[in-house]
Amino acid sequence: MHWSHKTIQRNDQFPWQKLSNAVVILAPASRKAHELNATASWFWDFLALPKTYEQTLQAFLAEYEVDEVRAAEDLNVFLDKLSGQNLIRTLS
Amino acid sequence: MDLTQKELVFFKDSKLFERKLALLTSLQQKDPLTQASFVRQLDFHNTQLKIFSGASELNSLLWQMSETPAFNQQFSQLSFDLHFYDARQFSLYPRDWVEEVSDCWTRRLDADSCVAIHRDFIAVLNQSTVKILLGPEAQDGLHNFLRWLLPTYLLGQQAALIHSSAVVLANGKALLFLGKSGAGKTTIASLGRPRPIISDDMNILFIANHHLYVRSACMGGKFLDAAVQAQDFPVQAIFNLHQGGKLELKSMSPSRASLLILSSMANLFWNDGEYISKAAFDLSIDFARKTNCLNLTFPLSQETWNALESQNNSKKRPISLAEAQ
Repeated sequence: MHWSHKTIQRNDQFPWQKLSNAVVILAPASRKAHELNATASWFWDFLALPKTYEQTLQAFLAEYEVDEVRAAEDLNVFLDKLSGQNLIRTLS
Repeated sequence: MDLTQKELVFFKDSKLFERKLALLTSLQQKDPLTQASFVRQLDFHNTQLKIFSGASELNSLLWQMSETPAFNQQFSQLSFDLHFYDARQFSLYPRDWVEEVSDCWTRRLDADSCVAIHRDFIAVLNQSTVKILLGPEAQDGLHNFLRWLLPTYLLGQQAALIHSSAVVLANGKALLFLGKSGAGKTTIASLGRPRPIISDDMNILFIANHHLYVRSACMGGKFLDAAVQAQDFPVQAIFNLHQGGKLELKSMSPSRASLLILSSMANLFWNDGEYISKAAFDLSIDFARKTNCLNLTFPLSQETWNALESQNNSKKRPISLAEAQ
């Protein structure tokens, strides 16, 4: 998916909890439980409210030591993964 | 009862399953047993079980169940009337299911009722009355029935039935071992002898006074007769087992530990509904917060237990193999 003009928010319909720095999410409908690592969990927190892709990328760059090209690549892959598991929703 | 195509495929011996399904229908229509067939009443993990028997041959089996004290007084006790019918009186004999390879089938009919066909029992639950078809020779069937009946209700009392083995250390605390079938739960418990074995198959985990405790579920296992029953032990650590040639202990993140515990909860099905799934999920998180979890690869030698004993006092930080030696 092309994320560049999307507004994104995490899907709060799933039960989830934070343990140490990691978020675990239960998805009963797909009979899966997901474990997010520390970076993914940071995104999960960040996407509690709707954010544009640009806002998300800039926040990622501000939080982590990573160059912009690599950050965008990683972010796209990550959003694709979350979207594939229905863990985020796009608002536009 | 109409079955979905998916359910039909689930049972490899379709003729046997159809017979069992017909028996399930008969059982649903059968009157509960009368007071005359009352055998005993016992407290069993915060439930009060009133047992009725449809055949004297079943009685000795039903007397083998151990009474256990309540583990959490803050919850009111649930009660069930259990009506056991002899499978042979329904023309269902051990030879009928000895080759049965299908897994268990459960269908919740509504909030208060549920039916099940398992390899060695058939059950109909309606509110607090359960009718069970069981062979008198099927000790495993009785344990399998209890494993089917109780997990949902335990969950409502902040406790979970965990497929695990558990062993008591010299300090009076317990180590809990999780892993897939064949991972070595019974093997490691056996290696740990003469340390007392709580159970090598099914244990109940619960939180009391902000600590995690384990007790024997008294539901089967190779060491059931030798198991420490009716006693609660604080949990020192939980291990995810892998059998291997070289001893290795690796720490596990609490989040990974919670998923491991969730996957080890016995007989809680995704199709039990979202409430059950969420309650199990929340409890697995609470359990993971209360204890230290590690991955353990272990050889079949005493070295394993030497290492486990030596980490008694390092609860917060898992030791490496080098340190253990």
